[in-house]
Parts: sequence; structure tokens; C-alpha cells
Amino acid sequence: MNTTVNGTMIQLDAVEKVYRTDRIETVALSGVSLDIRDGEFVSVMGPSGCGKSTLLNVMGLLDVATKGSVSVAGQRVDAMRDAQLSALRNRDIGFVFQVFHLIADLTVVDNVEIPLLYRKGIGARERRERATAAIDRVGLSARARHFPSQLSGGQQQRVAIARAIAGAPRLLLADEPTGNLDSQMGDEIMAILHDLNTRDRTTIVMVTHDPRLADQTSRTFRLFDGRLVH
Amino acid sequence: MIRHCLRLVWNRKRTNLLVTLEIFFSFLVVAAVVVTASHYVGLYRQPLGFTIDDVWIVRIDTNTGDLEPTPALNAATIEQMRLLDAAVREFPEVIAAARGFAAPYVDSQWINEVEHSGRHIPYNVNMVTDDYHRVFGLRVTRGRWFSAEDDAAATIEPTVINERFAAEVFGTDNAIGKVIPQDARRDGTRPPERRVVGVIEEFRQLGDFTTPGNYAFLRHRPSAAPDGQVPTAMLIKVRPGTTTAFEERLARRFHDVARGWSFEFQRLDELRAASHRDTLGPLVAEGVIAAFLLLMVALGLTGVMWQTVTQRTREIGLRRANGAAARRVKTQILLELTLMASVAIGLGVLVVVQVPLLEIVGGIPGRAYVTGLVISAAAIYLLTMACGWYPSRMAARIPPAEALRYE
Amino acid sequence: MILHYLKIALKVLARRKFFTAVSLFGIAFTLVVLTVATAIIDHAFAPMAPEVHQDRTLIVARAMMRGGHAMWRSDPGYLLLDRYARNLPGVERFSISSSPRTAYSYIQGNRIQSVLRRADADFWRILQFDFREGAPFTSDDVTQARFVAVVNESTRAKFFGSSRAVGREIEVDGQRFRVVGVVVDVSRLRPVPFADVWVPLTTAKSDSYKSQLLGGFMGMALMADGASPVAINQELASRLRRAELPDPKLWKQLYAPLETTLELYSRQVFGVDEDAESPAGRLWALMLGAALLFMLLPAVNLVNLNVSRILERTSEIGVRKSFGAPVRALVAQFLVENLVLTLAGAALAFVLAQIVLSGITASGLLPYAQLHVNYRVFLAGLALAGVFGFLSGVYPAWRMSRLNPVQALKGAVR
Repeated sequence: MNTTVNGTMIQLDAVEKVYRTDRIETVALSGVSLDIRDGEFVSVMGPSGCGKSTLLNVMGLLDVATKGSVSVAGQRVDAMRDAQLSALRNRDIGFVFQVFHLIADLTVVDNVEIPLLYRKGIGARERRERATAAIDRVGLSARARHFPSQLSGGQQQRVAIARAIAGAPRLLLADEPTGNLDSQMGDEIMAILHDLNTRDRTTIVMVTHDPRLADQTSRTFRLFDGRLVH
Repeated sequence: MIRHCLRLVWNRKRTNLLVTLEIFFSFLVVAAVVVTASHYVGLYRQPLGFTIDDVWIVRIDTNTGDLEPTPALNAATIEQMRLLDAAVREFPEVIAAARGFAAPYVDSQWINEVEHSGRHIPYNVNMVTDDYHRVFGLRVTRGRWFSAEDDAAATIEPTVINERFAAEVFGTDNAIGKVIPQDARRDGTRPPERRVVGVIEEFRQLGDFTTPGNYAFLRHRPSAAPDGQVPTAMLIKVRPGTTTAFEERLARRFHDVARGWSFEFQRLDELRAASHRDTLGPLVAEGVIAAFLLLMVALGLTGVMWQTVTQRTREIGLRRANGAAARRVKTQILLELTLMASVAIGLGVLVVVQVPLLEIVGGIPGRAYVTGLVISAAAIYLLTMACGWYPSRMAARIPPAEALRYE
Repeated sequence: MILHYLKIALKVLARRKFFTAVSLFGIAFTLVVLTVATAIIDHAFAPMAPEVHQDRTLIVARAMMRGGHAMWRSDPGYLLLDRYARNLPGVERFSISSSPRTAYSYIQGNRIQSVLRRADADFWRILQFDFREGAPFTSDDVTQARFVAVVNESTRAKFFGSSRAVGREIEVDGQRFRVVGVVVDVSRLRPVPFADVWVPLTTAKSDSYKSQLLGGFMGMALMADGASPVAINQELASRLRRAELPDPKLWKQLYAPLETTLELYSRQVFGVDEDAESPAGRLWALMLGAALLFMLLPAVNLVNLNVSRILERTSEIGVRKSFGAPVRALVAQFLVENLVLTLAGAALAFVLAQIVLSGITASGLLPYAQLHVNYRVFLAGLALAGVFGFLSGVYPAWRMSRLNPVQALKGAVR
């Protein structure tokens, strides 16, 4: 595990992301610079289309910045190849999406195992154990062998969180995790996230449009038209 | 990883059923062609026992019918044949000439049976003259071929058999001097003993693609009792480079010697070509159809794989987000395809194996099945991989963020 | 309205070129193979000149004599046909001809190979050959054993090039004949009429054939209208049972069935002896089974392609539905799409089949063959392709169209 420099988990410096198709050029991010420290729980807010998801994608190494430098977990990622990026994602980053992205044809425990599948040096039994532990953590042990279609929205999102933490990542990126849920389920999810942040010191970056949720975080970044505003 | 893929493929069995079914039927089509082909290849590689280079056959029709000839008629026929035998030897182009009942690639069979340790063993019989082995280059491995010294033996019928027959009836013993058992005649008398005077390597009369069997040659003696049959196929070995003009001259000479008889000339290599065409023709046609079917399947499966992979774009994006390298994603998709193919091939092997077990089609040895099934399995695996290659590669290449957003 | 669907269908098919191409290839290929195979089978067995009365014609081409352990199988001899098969009740006309034999002629150092047959005058009355020159030999020619011959066009070309042949002489198998007629080539696949040169029975080199029960000949019977083949066969069998056999200590029974060419062929394919019934039914079953099996793979392929695409079309259906499209319209659209694809495949198949068939004719693989497309089979194959396309493409689309738009948009497929 790499030690972070000055305890910084994520560092973005003048990052720009431009999407080019044949005819149109879209600037999703422009001149974004920020630091997030190890163990922080921050949120990102802004209107639709302002680039929140893109920001998360860049932080999560799902997308490559067109300009600027990106460091995650103390490493410069700009020049990394696919294999290295994948390894880094696998070890240190967990994702939670608004639309859950659970594989419908796999049981809960098979879904949660996925990040462990791609990690070297873990056998089938250890995979099962760690997945089961993660499922226990989110309180779904009774549903381990069910299929996603048999669960409610809140339960599915909890499975997604279990999947995200099964590999014990240092960074958790959540894109509108409560967007598809009612307020009671949303509160449950937030409770789990807080727990992860306080007990495990997981750095969490959460994109949301709900000011109430943003207030629960230590810092809020606001984006407008791809730029950070205050 | 394999277990994960197995579970995934199993959980999606309804969707995967069609693909598996298609691979299954393709395997059956390929197996049918390949097993037959490898059977033929196996047969082809076995020794023929003779060479037919520059050998001609002259079919002699005495135009008198061959149903129980009278002694007088027979004597006349035998004399006429003797004249023809002499006439053919006048020509310098002729290296060797003989007569027999049957010749290679001629579909005329005379079959007897011998009873041995409770079983009836069939064997082909051919009655020939003394130069037959020179015309065809038959290799005598033990004992000798027929010659004039056999004239003396009036009460026995000298016989030359092939190695396979010798092994089947006499085992490891030396067959020379032994007798091949025969049933008594219908009037109770015993036929002359068929005593083995020589053993040849092999004589597969019907050609390269027939299953080897038991063969016995009997010696034709013109001076034999006049109610015997007369071999009417003349076999001539000519010098290389002999032209059709020679055939015309020979035909005229024959017509002069034996007026009223008909002669049909053929080259044995033409007969072989026709026989090969008849045997291989259908196989080649089936092969061509099978090839086109496979092409269609290949295109179809590629299309289906493309569709399937596209529909899994979000899943692929998710796996990438969880740290799967692009190459691993491709490997996983191909692995799933391999699992489906294995199920299909396994089932296919079970079905194909029923054919010899239930004796639906006989005569094909186990080795042909094993070779054929292995080759077919390899071919189908290759085909399936080829179909999945491009779609899986394309899918793995989509950037994860885009994949997750895919609608 | 149809034009509207047509336009959409063409656009959709053009958008997914790969799928359209693969489906077209699959349909076309299947139909081509089906058509070519049927053309060849038709060519061998269906009624065709000169066998214009094929539905009323039976032949005796195989016979068997049996006694104890011995068995003699061969084509029937002249004696069997003349003494026992002539004048059967229900038979209008009967002809005896020899089995085909290769015969050689030598002209200026070149060898010409021909298939020679000897026939009687009734041969030409039962079969209607197309005469390019001259006429067939008559009963009088046969009685007088005149050395006359009918040749086919190819033989005329071999002997005389492009000149007329009637009145000129040819030498075949060591005998000289005067040409009296020239006919259009008949295919080698038709065993009943086929030959290159026909000469009268009585020109045989010796008379011994007249006393042979087995060997060398074929009988052809033209049935009267309404006659029953079963009854005729029973009468022939009963005559043969009372027949005088050579060497009665050895030979006990004689059999010779009167049957169609298809029945004869089935007998050969399955190796059934002459004393048993012809397994023609089995041959039909085998051919039908093979055809179905052959079409199975393309069918599965087509279904696979269609089903995999239906999921992609689901959201399109959802969108159309949410804009108020009725189920009828959606189904009609998919139906037209399927029809266009099937018909395009069929058109392609038709053109390709003609090319393949003329290729086979030209290559000489089947000498003297004239292969034609059997329209009934072609249409049947087309219908089958349509059915499969319908089942795999239109039916699921109909199911999908009946969902409410939200479900369709979500892609609720299961």
C-alpha cells in the first residue's frame, strides 16, 4: 500500500475533459483543481449536466483527462496503461452507482465477489468469506443467495455497497447513491456510508443533488458548467 | 473465475440455449463428414497388394450365355481361349498376360465360406491363370505362386491366400501345406482339397476404399474337367507409353481369332478413377455443403455474439470499474463461449457415439470415430473462438465510463 | 400504407447491414441446396421425355433364382421376359431390350466409346423419343434382323461431325450398321431409355440369348388405364412359380418384380432381394429426414439471429408505443420486414440456383443432363423460411408490442 503524500488521497490539477464526436465538441470539465485528504467524506453538487459524473469518473480512473494531472492514492495516473489502472482501481477504489448496476443473472453473493475475482492471490474460499463479511456489514445476510430482481431498491443499493467494499478499498466513489430511493431507504444508506467513513477511515466522495445529504459531509464542491464554483 | 463463469452461463441458460443448440448441430454436421473422411483415409492407407500401372482388362463375352454350359461348348470355349492367350503374347508391347474371374476395381464377387471355430468366415475367391501375379506385381511372402508343377496334382486344388486369411484360419502356424475346409457337394461327393501353396501380402479387389477381407486364389487348369467355369477377364500388362493404336490392333486380332465373341477393353486406371469418383463424389459434395453450412453458422454466431456482448455492455463496464483489465474481460467472454461449446460438443459426442453402439451404420472402425470426433471438436472450438473473438475484443475496448452509461 | 412499412423495413435492414447480409446468405444458401438436390432427384425419377408414360410404366430389371444355399441374382434373361412376362393381363404393350453395354468403335486410330443397347420395335412405341432425323426401326426390321441403328446426337457428332447421319454406316463392337434415325440425347441418370446407340435385338452375335432365363435384358410394360400394378405382379409371380427351371435339383424358385424406377433404386440402395417388397417408402423417409436435418441448422441460425435482435428492438417498440402506435401497426411493420428479407433471400436463391444448375449441366458431371428448378419444392422451401422467420422475429415482436410502453422501454424481456 502506498503512503499518501501529505495524507492526500486525490489530487487534481487544472484538469480538463473534452468529448469529441465527429461534429460536436463538449467540454465536460474545465480547469478543475482540488485536493481530497485521506479519510474525508466530501460531496459534489451541481445542476444536471454540469459534469459531476465526469468528475467522479476521472477520479475513479474510469475516464482519462484530456489535460491536467491526476493523482490517486499518491500515484500520478496520467501515464498509466490499462493494466496498471485496472490494478489500481481493483485495489483501492470502490464504486456505487445510482442505477446499482447489479448483474441480474447472478446471486447477491456472486455479485459482491466481483472485485475479488480480479484480485491476484485470493482463492475461492477466501473470496466467499470476504464477500459474506461485506454482505453482513450491510445487513443482508439473509438474502445472500437471492437474485437482484427479488430485492427492493434499498436492498439492491446495499448489495452494491457491499460489492464496493468487499475489497476493502481506501476510496469509495458514490454517484447519487440515494437518487433512486425513498427518504427512509436513503437514510439507511447514508448511515452505512458514515459508518464506513468513521470506523474504516474510507475516503468517500459522494455526488448528490440533495442539500440535506451534502450537509452531512465535511466539504462540498460545487460544479457549474464544468467549473468549480464557490 | 471458471466457477464464476460456469454459474453465469448456467443462470443464463435460457438465453444461451439457442447458441449451444447451434453449436451442437454444427458439431454433428462436421462430425458426420470428418468421421467418414477419416474412415476413408484409414482405408486408403492400407496396402492394396497390387499395382495397376499400365494394366488393361479385356472382358471377353463368348455370347453363348454362362448358365451351366455343356461339356462340348466348354471344350470349344477353352480351345478358343487358348488361342487368344497365344495371340496376345505375339505383341511386343505385352509384358505379361493372364486371365481371371475377377480383377481389381471390377465389381464381380464370388464368395465362399469356411467354418472355423464355430463361425462362418467369408472369403472372396478368384480363379486365375499362372501369370496373374506378374501382371499385378503380387508379393508372395511365403511359399510360391501357381506354376506348371501344379499340373501334376490332380486331386487337390492349389490355393494361394492372403496374409489376413492365413492369420484368421491358421493363426501363427505356417499356412503352407494346410487345407482350407469346404462343405461337401450337394450330391455328397467331396470337392478337391484346397491346399495352400502360397501366401501373398494382400489383394483388396474392390480398391483403396474397401475394408480389407479374406482372399483366395484358385488355379485355372484348361485340362480340368469340362464342367468347370472358364475365366473370361483377360488382364494385360503393357509397356509404358503404349498407345490406343495398339488397342485397335489387338481388338482386330482378337476378332479374327474368335469370331462372334465380343471384347470390351478398359484401362484399369480408368476403372479406378470411376470407382474413386463414385466413392468420393458424394463425400466431396457433402463436404462442400458442410463447409457452406459452417460459413453460415460462423457468420450467424458472430452476429449473435455481437448482439449478446452489446447487451452486456453495462455489465462489462461494471466489471471494468471493479478492476478487470480489458484483456480479462475478453478472456471471460471467450471462456463463457468455451463452456457453452463444451456442453454442445459433449452432447454431440454422446450422440455420435450412439451410431456405432446402436449399429445404425456399420463398418466404420473405432479409430475413425476417435480421430473424427477429436478433429471435429477441435474444429468447432476453433470456430466458436473465431466467432467470439472480434465482438469480445470490441466490447472490452469500450472505455468503462462509456460502457456504464450505455443504454 | 404498405409502401410506408416497406420503406421502414428497408431502412431498418439497411441500418443493420451485417445481420441482413447473414440472414440473406442463410436463407439463400438453404434454398439453393434444396433446389439443386431436388432438381437432380427430379431428373432421375420424375416424368420426362422420352418417358412420357412414366406413371403407367413398370420395368423388370432384376431377377433372382434361389435353391437351397445358392442364390443367383442378375438382370432377367430374354427367355424369362419373352415366355413369362409377355401378354400379362392389364399390360397394353410390352418391350424387351438389352441392358446397356459399353461398345467400341475405331476410326483412324481413335477409339470411340458408346453405350450400346439392343431393342425391339415396341421400345419406340412405349417411349417417345424426339427424333432429329429419320425414324426408329420397325417390327419388320427386327424380324428381318436388318443391321440398322438409331444413334443420339452426341454419337452422330462423334462419327460424322455436323453432317447428317441417316443412310450412312457405322461400325460398333465389330459389326456394321446403317443409321436410320438420330434422337436427342437422353440422360445417363434415366436407366430405362438411356443409350448412345440402339440396334435391333436380332442383330446379336449369337442366338444363345433366346434360351437364357437370367442375364442381360430389361422388360418394359405399359399398363392399360386403370390397371393395378399389384395384380399384374401377382400374375407374373404365379407364372414364375410354375416356370421350368434349369437343373431343378439345384434351383427351386424364380423371382422377378415389375416396378417403377424409384422402387428399383430403393431396392439397390437398401440391398433388398428380389423376392421381397421394394423399400421405396424407406427411401422417401430417408430423403425427407435428410432434408429436414439439413434445414435444421440454418433454421436454428435464423432463429438465433432474430431472437438476439429482438432485445435491441424492444426499446424501439417502447418508444413507438409511447407515441401511440397500435399493436397492429407494430406487428405489421415486423411482418413486412420479415417478408422483405425472406423474399429477397428467395430471389437471390433463385438466381444462384439457376447458375449452379447450368454449371452442373455444363460441367458434364451428369452426362446429357438438363436440370430444371422444381417450383413446388422451391415454394415449399420459401414457405418454410417464412415460417421460421415469422416464429423467430414477428412472434416475439408481437408479444413485446402487447406490453405497456414503460415495460417495453425498460426492456422487460423475460
